[in-house]
Order: sequence, then C-alpha cells, then structure tokens
Amino acid sequence: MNNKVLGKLIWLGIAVLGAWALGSIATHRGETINAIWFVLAAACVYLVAFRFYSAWVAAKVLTLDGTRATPAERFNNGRDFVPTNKWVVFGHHFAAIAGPGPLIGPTLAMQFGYLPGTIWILVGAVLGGCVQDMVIMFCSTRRDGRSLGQMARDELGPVGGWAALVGTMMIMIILIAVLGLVIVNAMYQSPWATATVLGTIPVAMLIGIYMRGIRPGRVLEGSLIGIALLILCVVGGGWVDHSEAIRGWFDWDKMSVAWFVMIYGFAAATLPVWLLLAPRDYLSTFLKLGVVFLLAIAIVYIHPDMKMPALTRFIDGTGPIFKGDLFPFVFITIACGAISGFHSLVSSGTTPKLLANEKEIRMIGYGSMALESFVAIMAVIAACVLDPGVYFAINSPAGVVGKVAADAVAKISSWGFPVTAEQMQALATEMGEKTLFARTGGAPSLAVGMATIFSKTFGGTLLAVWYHFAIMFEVLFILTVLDAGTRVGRFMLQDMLKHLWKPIGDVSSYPATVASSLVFVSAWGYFLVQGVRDPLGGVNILWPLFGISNQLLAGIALSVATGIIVKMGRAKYAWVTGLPLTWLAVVCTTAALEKVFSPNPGVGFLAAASDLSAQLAAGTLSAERSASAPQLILGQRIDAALALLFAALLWVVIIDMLRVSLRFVRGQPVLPLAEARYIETRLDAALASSSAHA
Amino acid sequence: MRPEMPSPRLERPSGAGRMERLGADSRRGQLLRTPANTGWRLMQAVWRFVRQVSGDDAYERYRDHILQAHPGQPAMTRTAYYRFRTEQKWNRITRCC
Repeated sequence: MNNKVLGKLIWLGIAVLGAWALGSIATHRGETINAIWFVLAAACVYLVAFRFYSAWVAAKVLTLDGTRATPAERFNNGRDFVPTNKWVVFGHHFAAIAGPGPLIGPTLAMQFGYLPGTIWILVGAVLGGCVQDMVIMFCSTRRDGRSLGQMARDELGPVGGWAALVGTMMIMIILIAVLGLVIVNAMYQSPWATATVLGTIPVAMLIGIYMRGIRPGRVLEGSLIGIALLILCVVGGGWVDHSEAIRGWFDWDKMSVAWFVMIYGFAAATLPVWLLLAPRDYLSTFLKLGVVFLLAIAIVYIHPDMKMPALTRFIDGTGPIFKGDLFPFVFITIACGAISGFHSLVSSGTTPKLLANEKEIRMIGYGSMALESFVAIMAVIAACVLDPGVYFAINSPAGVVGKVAADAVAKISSWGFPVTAEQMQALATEMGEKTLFARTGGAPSLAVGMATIFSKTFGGTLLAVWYHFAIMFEVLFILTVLDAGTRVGRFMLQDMLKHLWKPIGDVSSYPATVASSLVFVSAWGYFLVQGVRDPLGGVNILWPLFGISNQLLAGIALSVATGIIVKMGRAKYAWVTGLPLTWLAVVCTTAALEKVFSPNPGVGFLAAASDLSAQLAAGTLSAERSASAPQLILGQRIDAALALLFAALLWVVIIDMLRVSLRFVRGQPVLPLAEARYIETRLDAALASSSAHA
Repeated sequence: MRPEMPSPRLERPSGAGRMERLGADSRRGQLLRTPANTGWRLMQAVWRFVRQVSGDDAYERYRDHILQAHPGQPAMTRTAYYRFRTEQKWNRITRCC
C-alpha cells in the first residue's frame, strides 16, 4: 500500500516538475535560457505521457493481450520471424526509425525561435507520432506482420491501398532528393569534409569483405575496426585539407557533389548489398547511437545557455531559411521528431515480426518514438546555443542575404541579430573551413553546435576535428537512408512496372536491376539538381515538399488505424488517432495549397514560376540565370503538381476511411476485419518478461 | 488489464529455447549472490545484450533454433547464413528519415 502512495507521489512530482519546466520555457523573457529546462521539460512530458496516456491507449483502445501468440511465435522460423527480447527489439526499432530528419527539421525551424518548434515536438510526439507508431505496430502484429500498404488494401479497399503505395513511392523520391541536397551543402568546397566522406566508402567495402569473407557474420569485430578507421578518415581529411598539393582534388563545386551523390546512390543500389550497403549501415548505426547518447550526456553536463529568442520576427513568413508563416510551416518543417509517416513503414512489416509479446508494443512503439522526439529536442538545443546572428549567417542562402560577406552580415544584423564578418571568419577558421556563410540545409549549423558542445565537454580543444566528425556522422546517417531508400525504391518500381512489362519485375536479372535503378535515381536526381540550381538554395523548395509528403504518409497511416479502430467496434475511441489525423489534414492541406497558389513567389510554386518567366521575358536576368531559368520554371510547375497530388492522395484516403467507418457504424457490409484469429501463447510470459534483465 | 501469466509451463513449444535460456540464466544468478558474482553476471548480461542487439550472435541463435525446432534438418553454414540475412534485410524498408 505504501509503495502505491509513494508511486503516486513520484508521478505527481514528475508532472509538477515538467509543468514547471514548460512554464519556465514559455514565460521566459531574458537574453538567454538554460538548455537544462528543455531537457527537463521533455523528459517529464515523455515520462508522464508514457506512464498514463500510452497505458490507457494500450488497455482501453487496443486492449493489448499478453496471452495472444504474436506472429513471431506462430511463424518462428529463426530468420525474420523470431521472438526476441524486448530491449533488443527496442534497440532495433529505434535504430531503424531514428534518421537525420529529427536533426535537420528542428534546426531549420529555429528561424521562428525556440518556442513554436519545441511545443510542436513535445505535443506532436506524445499525441501524434508515438500514437501512430504504436497503433500501426499493433495493427500489423494482429495481421501476421503485414505492411501498411497491404493493411490499407485489406481494411479500406483497393483505393486506400493504391494511394498508400503511390504515397510511399513519392515520399521516397522527395526524401532522398532533399537529403542529397543536405549532403551537397555540407560538402561543397570543403576538402576536409569531402575527403573524409570519400574515405568512408573504401572503409565500408573493406569491412564488407571482412564480414563476409574473412570473419563471416562477426558484426561487432568488423564494426569496431570500421569505427576506428572512420576516425582515421576524419583526421586524414584534416591532413588533406592542410596539404596545398592535394586539397584541390577534393575542392568540389555543388554540382560535382550532386553527381557524386547520384553515382553513389546508383552504385549502392546495384552492387551486392554485402559489399557497400550493409557494412556502411552497421558503421552508421553504431556511430548514430553512440553520438546521440554522447550528445545527451554532453548537453546535461555542460547545460549550455540558449541564445535564440523564444519567437523571432520571422513568424510573419519572411524568414530567410524558408518562406512561409508560422502556421502551417512549423508543423511541416518539423515532421520527424513530432510525427513522421515514414515510421509506419517500419512499425508495420519489420518490427512486428520480432515481438515476443503483444504487451511490448507499448514500450517499443510509443517509447522509441518518444526517444526520437528527444533527439529532436537535442537538435533544438544544438541550434539555439549558437549566436542567432551566426545561426542565420550559416543557414541563409546567398540568394537572400547576398554573396559578399559584408552584405550578408549587414543584412542579418539589420534583422536584429548582430554578427560581424570577423566573427564568422574566426568561427570558420576554428572549424577548419574557408567560410561558413550560406552553408544551408541545417547540417553545417548543427555540426557547429555539436562541435561547440562536444569540444566544451572535452576541454575546449579540437573544434575542427569535432566539426568534421559531426559532418561525417550526419553524412553517413543520410547515406544510410539514401542507399537503402534507392534500393527499396527500385524494388517498388520493379513491382509496379511488372504489370506493364513482365521481365522488368525480375529482381535477380541484372539488366532489369540496372534499368530500374537508373529510373529511380533519375527521379530523385531531378529534384536534387533542381535544388542545387535554385538561387535560393533549394531548401525552400524541397524541405516543405518533403514535410508535406511525410505528413501525407502519416495521414494515410492514421486513416488506416482509425478505420481499424472503428471496425473493432471502438468508434468511441476513434479520436485517439482521429485527432492527430484531423490536425495533419488541416496542416497538410493548408501548406500544400499555400505552396501551390500563394501569390508570394517565395512561397508559391506557381507564383515563382510566373515571376521567373516574366523576368526572363523582360530580359532582366543575367546570362547565366537566363540559361537555367526555363528548367527552373518547369521544375516549379512540377513541384506544384506534386504538392497538389499529395493533398489529393491524403483526402482520397481520408474519405475512403470515412466511407468505410460510416458504413460500419450504420451496419452496412464492409471488408471484414483482417485480424488473425486468437491463438493462446505457449511462450511463457513470465519468463519472457524476466529475460529483460539486460 | 490482464495479469501476466505467472506459472512456467511444462510443455515447451518449438522456438521458446532462447527465452527459456535467458530466464534460466537470470534465475541461476540469484543463487550465488556475492558482489563479485553479481558484477560478473551483470557484465555477462550486458555483453549478451550487445551481441544480440548488434546481430553478432545471430548465427548461433539461428543454429540453436534449427537444432531445437527441426532436429535432423541441416542448418546453413555461418557464411551462407550471413549472406542470406544481409540480402533479406535490405529487401524491405528498414531505415527511416
């Protein structure tokens, strides 16, 4: 009894502490605010939400049943269906969902100030993202581990299934293009970064050969050797940068880096996986988990002051990093970290095949997403520890602030964020770069923030090495999505095209592989090149498109989930997924319509296209810009069509879900609930949960 | 909420081998409870966890599964299993943004 009272008191304490921390953040009016408030507020919000909301959803809405045998138990084949220790599944699931998105989106969204982004990350995660991941994992587990697309087809019908398929394909194309653009902006004219990243490719191949031929399957050994070699690559990159004779070879312009990214994507999708893709993924996963863990410790240890104001003047839509009002664009810019539709693809199909007990869905689905959301909070902190002037100088494209340092600092200072050319030069020298002006895309400013935090933690030295370590970490992270995405995208394309021409669907045929990889790489390469050519740096075009497509996928997942909840006879709880779905529908539709029809050429694709054609016709463009203008105009029109397609797909699925739900509630016939029938578990639940001692 | 199942069952189905082993280990750990022993067992548990989560012991687990669940059936070799697992893992979406 006493323990119960103590437990309640502890939870009350956590709730009060969280409310106090949140209140301090929201009402704070001073020059700086300490980052520890953000860590505290976030931790308390996740803990309370996990303890109470997720428990309620698990018990009342989903009624997770520990006695029901999971697909892993029923189909245990020792390969993909394997009942696995829940902490191990948690590790796998977190490693799978945590990508570069929650690091980059929040960094870009800090142009509005820290407050809107932070609130959205916390609220969006506990009410939206975590719920989505958990419910979809539940649905897939009850359906023998089926994928989101299959569930949409089984539960809603062919229209929903088809929309899910097209939506997934589209998000992959836009996602890879925008992440490629982030790499381009981190690597161009930086011999150190370029040499380091190039060095990681032979390292990965070496480890691939080691793990397949020399010591088959010894993952830990291979990865440890690989990580040591990666650190050598960072140091070696510095050596290249200091050697006048060699550095020129690695001093690439933006278009060369873009070509490198495309060739890499093609190679990784067509080479055998064991040679490049798999070993590089092992390395980047180890690095990813290590760095995230280290960053959390470092932030708590040095608890830096955050210098960004709570709100900036750019909530009016005139921001330099991307144009558009606070609503809806903060909710589009931060997708991963708050709610990420892409997670529904891992939560269905992959992770459910490992679950030993249904009850673990709560910790693995809800808990992993809460942890990813915390990664986004760390990105917020890393962006806000920079002087706002420095943050804007790094992230503002030259097309907005000007190519010359003096112009840029004058413009940024005039916004009320003082910064000097000397300060930027000193920072660039410290970080081992020639200049840090207009290094858009979020990765470089995040790297500067991380390098500052890490270097302070370890005695204030080696800033340049930490900076390039952080860049390598981000690029490896992104390459993981890029090559795995290209490969899966190629399979999906082959699967679709085989209905038109059978031989293209043969995944073991080399010509079919090469042809479909070429088509898929060209698709994302088109948008990447468009981003590189864009005088405003490309982020303004591609990141909102990516956000909209990711939220579209979340909308599809939440629609499938809502439909299933209604068909389970729990319509009174449909708001659990219906509420985030409604919000996403509003945000996504508003953002898509603004991106297409806004008369402001900074926001609207069509306005930008007609603005550029008017300038071209009037002959006011430079010779260089006139040459690229027709392609840019066409590109903007294609972007407009895409944004409209995304919004239309979302509404097709929502309306389909509403149709099915209404029919069910009225007692009319609908597709039956495709849930697998109940079989009692024969795995001993007591032993299964006690095995979680590790 | 339904209570978790308390009693160990006599009949064990195929595939429960690992759970059984992990559970048995933790129970054995309670028999000899000296500080040095606890520390050693904790380190072993951490090491087992790291090996499992990284996939380092995937082959041993697969081989045990085949031996227990399908005795008499030949298991793949370590090299063949690694190749198979790598191919299989990268044929679907396993990484997010």
